[in-house]
Amino acid sequence: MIRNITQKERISSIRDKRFIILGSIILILLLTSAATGIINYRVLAAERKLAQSTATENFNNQPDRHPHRVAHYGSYAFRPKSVLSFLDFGLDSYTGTMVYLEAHQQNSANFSQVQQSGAMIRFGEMTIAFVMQWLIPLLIIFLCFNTFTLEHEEGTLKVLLSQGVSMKAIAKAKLLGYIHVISMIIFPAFFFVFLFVLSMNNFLLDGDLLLRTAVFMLTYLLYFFIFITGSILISAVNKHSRTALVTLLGIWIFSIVLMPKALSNLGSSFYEEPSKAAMDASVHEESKNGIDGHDPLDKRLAQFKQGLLEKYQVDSLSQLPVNVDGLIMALGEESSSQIYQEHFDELVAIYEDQNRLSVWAGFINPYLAIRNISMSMAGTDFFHYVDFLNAAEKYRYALTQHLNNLQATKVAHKDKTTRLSADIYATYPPFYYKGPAFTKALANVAVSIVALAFWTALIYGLIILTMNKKKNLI
Amino acid sequence: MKQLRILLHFEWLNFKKEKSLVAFCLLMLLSGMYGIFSGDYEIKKQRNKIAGLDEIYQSNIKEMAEKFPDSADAGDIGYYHAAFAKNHPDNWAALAIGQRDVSPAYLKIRLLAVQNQLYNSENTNPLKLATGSFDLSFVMVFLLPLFIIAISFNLLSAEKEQGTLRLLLAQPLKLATLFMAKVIFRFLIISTVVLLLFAIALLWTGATPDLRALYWILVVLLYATFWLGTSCAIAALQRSSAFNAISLLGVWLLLAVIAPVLINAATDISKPVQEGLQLTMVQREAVHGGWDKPKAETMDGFFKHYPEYTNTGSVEGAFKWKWYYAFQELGDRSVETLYKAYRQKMLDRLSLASNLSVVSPPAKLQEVLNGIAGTDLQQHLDFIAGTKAYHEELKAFYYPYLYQDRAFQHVDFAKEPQYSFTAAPDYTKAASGIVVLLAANVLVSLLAIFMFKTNTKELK
Repeated sequence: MIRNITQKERISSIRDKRFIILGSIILILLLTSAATGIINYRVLAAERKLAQSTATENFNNQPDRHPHRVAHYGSYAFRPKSVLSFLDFGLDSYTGTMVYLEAHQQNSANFSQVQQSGAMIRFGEMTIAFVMQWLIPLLIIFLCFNTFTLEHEEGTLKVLLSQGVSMKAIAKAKLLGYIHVISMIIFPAFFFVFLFVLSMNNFLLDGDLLLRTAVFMLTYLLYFFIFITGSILISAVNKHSRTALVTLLGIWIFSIVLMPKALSNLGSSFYEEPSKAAMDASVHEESKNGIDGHDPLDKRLAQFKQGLLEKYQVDSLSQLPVNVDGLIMALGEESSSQIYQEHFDELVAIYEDQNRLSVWAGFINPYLAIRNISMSMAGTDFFHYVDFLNAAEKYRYALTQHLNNLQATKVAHKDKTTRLSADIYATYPPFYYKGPAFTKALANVAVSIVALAFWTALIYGLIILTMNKKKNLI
Repeated sequence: MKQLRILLHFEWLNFKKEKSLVAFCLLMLLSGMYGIFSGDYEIKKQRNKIAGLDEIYQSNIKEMAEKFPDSADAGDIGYYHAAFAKNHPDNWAALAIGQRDVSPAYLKIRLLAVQNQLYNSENTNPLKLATGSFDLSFVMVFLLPLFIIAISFNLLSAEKEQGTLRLLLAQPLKLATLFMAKVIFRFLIISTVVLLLFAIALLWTGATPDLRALYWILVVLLYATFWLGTSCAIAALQRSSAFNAISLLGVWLLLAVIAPVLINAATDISKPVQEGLQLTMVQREAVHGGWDKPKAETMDGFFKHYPEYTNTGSVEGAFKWKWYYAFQELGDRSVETLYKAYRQKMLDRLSLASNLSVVSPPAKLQEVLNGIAGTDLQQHLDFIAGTKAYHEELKAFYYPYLYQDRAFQHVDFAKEPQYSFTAAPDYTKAASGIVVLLAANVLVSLLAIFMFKTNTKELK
């Protein structure tokens, strides 16, 4: 009997014109978004790779220069596109792509996609994640909203129940039937996605990539399960198809269109971030006067110089075996970088506070949970972005200190004109960035994964409970 | 006429009784009010950031006085001192944040080469940016159509499904009149909600009710009639309420989500921007290359643009600021064509997106609302161009000190040029948007009339 019901749902769905049309539209959109995602990835990845190699080439082929000139000439960090970013652009279009790395100051990441676009980009982006997060739930709603109400309206439910089948059994059978139906769209789509992922990586098997893809797909399956079960549940508790549909559409609009925006705006009104100018001014102030204002840099430098003179037992700085200019520069860089890092970490903490509301709301709204997991697996979420910024700053600091060290050891005191051979600079390794490992990305979205699992259990429990209660009501 | 009044009266009674309709109105009003509050809050935040700049500016001036007691070399001032170009939001910006949240509200400007100072970003939370602003424009563009659909998807089907349509039509009453009465009633409800929210927005944000208000009301009401027309066209098919709801949501999804998303993808793919990255890298090579070129060559290049300083003192020997600023200047000039190309590319992207958006009234409305509020990319590009011109003013202020070998007095800071920009509303965009929406209205009305004519026969 159960198998019959399951089969009936499957066959009637496939025979339904709605399903054929909507299903094909979704498949076409999935392929379109895969295509745009891949083109977008290829264009941007190539652009940044070229820019990074040009920057390296320029750096390695610069004329003979004084080390401190090179420190000002600096370098660039371009954020490489993650391979899976074609699945979900996430925050990629909203984050800067290039950081200019120079001595003495930390620059902002510039040239984000959104800063170079008009109003249209704010409507969203054509990605596989968009189709799966927004459109497939709608398809599910359209398919399932009248699964019980129609039987109710046409009187077939009574007939079924009179055969001795319980409501719970019918619901389970229907659930199974719709899972079959949706699978007919999802699995071919996932198969293509998997092929694309492999081809993006030149068919080399990479554990990190495969694990990310697997979690990406598995969590989407849970997301769809939640919508299928939820739609059947709403259909079972409503008498009319009209009310079931309107309720489901209302839920869809509320959780996908309205709530994410409201929460993220609310979060940012609770916690205010400082402007970049104010942050830079504080860093400048604190490095000049000491964090508490009582330990000015000038005083520290004087002490440092005095200490050197005593240590090497000489009368003047020019008699020192090392060039004090480089050491002073290194000292200043060390203190200002430390202070900057503290401010930057504070800023990141403020952003995390702003975003916390949206993360925990995953327990109320599964869309928010899947959005986080999806971005994280694609390597395009906030965590991955901050990791890149930190890597860029780390490289900037190391390069600057390397150059200060060259100045301390290879150039004489007060000498501002000697040029070191370019070969010395060319040996310094270029900026290379590899994103965080799968495990770190996964740990970062643990809350969202728990939220999604919670929803899966909750919705299944709810449907079983409701059906048990409904045993003889109809 | 009297019949129409009676029908409207009964619609009103019906409306008051139907809890869900009242709830939709309240929900719309609440969302609108949150949108107004949230947009205003965002603008207040930006104003706070701009206001904080004065203190930074003043403390920098104080630091200059400490660092260089008595008078200073203008070269040192140009290097260690920064001024701010400010992009003040108009009160109207609170109604449509547009691209103001992604573009910085100010730029920190030093006398050094300007090209790598124009594209710096502000501290922003990318998740917030990606999720987007919940402002009044979002409420109008996205939620207003959903509200219209919610109160009119069962325009006729509800009466039909309740069996009251036959009773009504048994009276000496034309279906067309009944239909019109229902549409007019809904239009009245929608315009009341829209106008009420608009009035609250003006009061709350202090936006001046000038010509912009007229444009705003016109364009939003045209948008509302477009969606009402679409609902009528679907309702005229005389199908079930569920069919209407699905079809209307499908149209909404297509026009408000999928079309703009595809337009954006098309813009990105057909007009990718690399010019920004190139510009900064080429400029860096040019500026830093200045250190390695013969000084005379640099100065000759500089004097071509500033013949008035030709007889300034020699730059040979020890480091001289005037030589330094000369190669900064030449660095900027070397990327002038790239700068123009970059700007042009962004304008091209904007106009391509704008042309494509004629197929999507929601995209058009967003563009118009941003244009009215002065918050689109176009206005930010104007600010960048203005900042570049401001840098010219700063040079005109500082160069005489540098190249006529005059000491800079700290009191001279009082004469330093300042720059505040406030975007002007883009009426051309608003006007063209109105034309597009008018055309969409005509199209959808014709469609509705056609549907009505072909489907009423079946009913009888």
